[in-house]
Amino acid sequence: MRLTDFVLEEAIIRELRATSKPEVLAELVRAIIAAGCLKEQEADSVVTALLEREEIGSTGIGNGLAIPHVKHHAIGRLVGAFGHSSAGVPYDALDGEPARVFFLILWPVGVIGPHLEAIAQISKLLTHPDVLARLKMSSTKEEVLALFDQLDDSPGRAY
Amino acid sequence: MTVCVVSAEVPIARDEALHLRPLVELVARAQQFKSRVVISRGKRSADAKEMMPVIQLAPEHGGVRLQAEGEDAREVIAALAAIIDQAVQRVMAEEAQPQNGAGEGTTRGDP
Repeated sequence: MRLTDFVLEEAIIRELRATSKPEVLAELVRAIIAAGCLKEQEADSVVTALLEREEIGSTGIGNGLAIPHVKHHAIGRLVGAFGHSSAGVPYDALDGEPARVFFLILWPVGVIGPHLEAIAQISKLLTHPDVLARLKMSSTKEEVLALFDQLDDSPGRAY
Repeated sequence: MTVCVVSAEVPIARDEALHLRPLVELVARAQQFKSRVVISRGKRSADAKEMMPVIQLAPEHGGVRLQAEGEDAREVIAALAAIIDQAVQRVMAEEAQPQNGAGEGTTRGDP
């Protein structure tokens, strides 16, 4: 699975305005709505579901990377949004550091599997710090997409 | 100091139980122990203290094998197996109560 298989090009936010976890989640969900993959009236329900899951365990997996995700009845297929915050957002991450790079993943209820592959693919950033660092510095959507391709084409860690 | 090698097979009744959050919890817990721990699932094996390779286990299927070597090997195996068991139990409990908005997200309309 490639990042561009599920991250919507229209839902790439180069600089998030959000300064808190709830705001980040809401901003990314709005991007999914703007991309036409979620109805406006479902926004609150999706954000609430995301926050409920964050209470069980933060999706801030360290190195400034967060992968909030939730399944939802209003979603028709696996979709993702990307967001970046230069200032960083407090996120209860494993390493205590603010999160700066966000991948929001939504998928339909009753579908198991693809979102796990998506998360596994995103997590490759943890062992490609060069790509992660450049994602934090990229200034255009085209640069972000090029870095997605670079990560997709990079081998996973051999183990 | 006694160095032990301990291994355990942990069955997983629901493949989807081993998703991001329990795996993150598992890595954090493993890092609290001195023993070296390898976790294997399907075709993959990972150092249980390393986030990325452990997350790569999520799309695999079936149970996991834990192998620890060190003075606290027995304790770390028990701790990690408990996290996996809890994750499975959580999924099964959510299946039993589909109206509670649980699961790895809302289950409203979950079949």
